[in-house]
Amino acid sequence: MNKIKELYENLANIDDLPAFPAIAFEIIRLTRDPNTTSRNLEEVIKRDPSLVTQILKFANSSLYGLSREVTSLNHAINLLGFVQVENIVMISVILSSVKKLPLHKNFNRDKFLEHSFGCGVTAKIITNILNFNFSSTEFSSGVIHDIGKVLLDLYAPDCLDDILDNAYKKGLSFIDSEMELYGVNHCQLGSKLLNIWGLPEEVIDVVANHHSPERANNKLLVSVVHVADLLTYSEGIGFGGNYAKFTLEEDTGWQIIIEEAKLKEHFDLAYFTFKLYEDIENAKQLYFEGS
Amino acid sequence: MDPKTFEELREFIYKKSGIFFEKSKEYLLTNRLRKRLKELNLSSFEEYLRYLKSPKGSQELTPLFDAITINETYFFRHIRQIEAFRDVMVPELLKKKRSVNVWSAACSTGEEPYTLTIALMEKYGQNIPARILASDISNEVLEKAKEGIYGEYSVKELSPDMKKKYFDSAGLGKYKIKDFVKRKVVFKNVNLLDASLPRKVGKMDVIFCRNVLIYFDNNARQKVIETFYKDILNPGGYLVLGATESISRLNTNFKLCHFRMAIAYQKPE
Repeated sequence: MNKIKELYENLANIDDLPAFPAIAFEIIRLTRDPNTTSRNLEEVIKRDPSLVTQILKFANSSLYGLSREVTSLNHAINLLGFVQVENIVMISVILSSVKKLPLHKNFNRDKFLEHSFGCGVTAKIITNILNFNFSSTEFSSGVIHDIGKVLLDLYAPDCLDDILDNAYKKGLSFIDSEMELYGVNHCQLGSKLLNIWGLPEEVIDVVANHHSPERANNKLLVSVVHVADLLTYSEGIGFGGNYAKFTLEEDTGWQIIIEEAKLKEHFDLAYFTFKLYEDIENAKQLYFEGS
Repeated sequence: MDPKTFEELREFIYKKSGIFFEKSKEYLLTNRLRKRLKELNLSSFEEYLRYLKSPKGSQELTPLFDAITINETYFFRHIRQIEAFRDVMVPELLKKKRSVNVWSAACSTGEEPYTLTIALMEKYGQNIPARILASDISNEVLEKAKEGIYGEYSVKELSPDMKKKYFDSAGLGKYKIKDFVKRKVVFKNVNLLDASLPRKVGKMDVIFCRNVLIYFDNNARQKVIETFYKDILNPGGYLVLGATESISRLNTNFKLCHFRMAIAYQKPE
């Protein structure tokens, strides 16, 4: 058995596996309980000052378009809604766990975070333009979609090197390279981790299938993240290279979106693209300081 | 202009011209249209929009298009398109042939064809694997292009190194394109609506035709695009329009391709 297969098989038994913080878990349990009030939620969140800061930051960001400044946590929770609070908690957890990673020569942590966040933002923008409603799951699962790569970096950095070298040498995508070398990919690793953590099904669905949207349960949601992932590469947020050019019309995920949302008639792809680029440009200036 | 009116106006503009007007340039549109409002004795942009959509509105299209086309031209304008050309299109085309034919179809005073030449020289050295044809309908601008002398504004996007490498000084604030760049570009007077266009231009691999079609009516636009597709572009060749210009509303077999923050149309292989 190769090293990555071994990692995959034994994931649940690894002693120092990144933990999903108990408080985040409690919040997710609460947001899904119909009897929970915003006061209950507030009590739990208050215990973690960094979460409070994050939630207020999101409530006040242009992403949610609220016009007045929100300063009270309870107010923020009510304005954002439970689902969005859950998403923010998940994003904060992933960002903070990635930030604790050791620096590694091939794995550029800042670029990884930029790509992860960029993918979440782009998924949200696509959702907005096309008038879909995933209660913001597209955002959190967009941010979390490549979590499997973090495991590679943590437990098999030499294999990660080989995957990247092989991809570069043969002009392969990351996933084709890992399948060729090890037969296990970051989607499988990531979804197994989220299973161990006990995260919601729809998020696991995205992580498991963001390279194979046709196999997903929620095909539309997974396709949106898939296309956002594609666009985030081509658009230069995060790793570059693999997708210098692509034809969206020929992409499986895009075809699913067109099909499921019944956009076929008179859909103007160029117009959609111009709108998307404009929104990405704005988001970039907001979150990546015009980089 | 309130956001709703702006959205409606830019949708109208897109429908009529294929150009997506960027929000970041709203102030420009507002400034220019304010003059039109005065001339037409209208008191608000809402009224102006109603006027545009009325039967009389078709007369207003030309002044409106004049207001939305920011007729500026400088070296390396819309860098993302130039990058897509240099880093993706040309290398891809060179896998099948040793040299590519590139056409700047409305070259005006020459910034665009010289930009394409310089971009390729930065990648391939002075002996670029490309022939560059530049054309325009006006002899006046073609003479200027051949002369190749530019002011500060035209070269504003270039680093001091690039300026030194590709330009000679031609007096205070004047830059003259160097001969080794100029020699790579062939200039020709061409009318895009001329029936003999394919014969005059020959076969091409990449066509730059940025923000030109807006000046044609629907029939002429369709005709030009068809000629590009059928008679001029080689299979696998690219058509690059303005950065936010589309031909979605025309009937074509072009495939839309996405690059890093840019799009182009490709004739299938």
